[in-house]
Amino acid sequence: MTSLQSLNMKLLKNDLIILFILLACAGLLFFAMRSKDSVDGNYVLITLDGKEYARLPLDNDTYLDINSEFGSNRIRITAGEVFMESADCPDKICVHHKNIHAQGESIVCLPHKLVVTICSQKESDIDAISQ
Amino acid sequence: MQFLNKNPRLQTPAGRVAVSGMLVALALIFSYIESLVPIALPIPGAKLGLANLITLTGLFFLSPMQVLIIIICRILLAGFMFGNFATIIYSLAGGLLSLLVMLIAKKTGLLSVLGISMLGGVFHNIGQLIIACLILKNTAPVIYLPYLILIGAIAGFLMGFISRLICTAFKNF
Repeated sequence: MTSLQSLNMKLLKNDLIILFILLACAGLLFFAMRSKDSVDGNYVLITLDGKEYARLPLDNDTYLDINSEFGSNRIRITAGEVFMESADCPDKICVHHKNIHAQGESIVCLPHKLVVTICSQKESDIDAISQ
Repeated sequence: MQFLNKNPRLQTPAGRVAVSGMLVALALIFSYIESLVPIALPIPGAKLGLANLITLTGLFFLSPMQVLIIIICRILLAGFMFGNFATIIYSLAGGLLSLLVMLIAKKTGLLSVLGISMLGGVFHNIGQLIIACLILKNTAPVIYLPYLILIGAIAGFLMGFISRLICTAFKNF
């Protein structure tokens, strides 16, 4: 049986190399994506089904109800942080997500095709270029 | 499980259908058990992928086409029973991409079942991530990529370990 030769113990070294490569990829991506998160954003972009639904400033405490054909969500902004207060999706992953405040962070409600992302306004981009 | 390749009666179309049906039933039981016992992980939605044991072990004893048919039947039936249309799409994307990667990994002959399983687990999650991005028309879910690789590798390692035990136990059957 040629296929059973693939079970050979000698191949374990290659398996450990694969494990190491996968862990290295995960670690590198983790730090590469984390470094961008250090800057606080100043507005939140809400995308529904791939289209922009709303933009809200982070410095204004408020909430927004989103009712679409996919379902209902309530997004709340408090003290510069954004979180999903309630949702009628089956898994509630978006509601359990931690509060977000840094640029690039986002909360996704997959069943409702809803993405909430923290962004920075144009001024900060201009500042970055002028530096 | 070598009796699966050796027994001439199981090499007939009827024999193959019987073995496939049995393995689909077993995979469905695994899916059901997994839906009953939510594993407490910090990342919601993370699963062990018990049903992938069938795919993984099948790679070594069955033809790729038979494994493909078993996966598609298992996903459709599990989707109708415990899930919905969305879960079927995600499961198909993950299951088919991971099968493709595992077949290639096995073909190289460089990896044992452990490495094949880890790659399968990681690419299962990557397949689901691609579908999530397509459905949302947004690249936001890509932030979860590091966690998905890590979880896929760990789940793949565990499943690979179990599959190794099954394969060695059945090798001399």
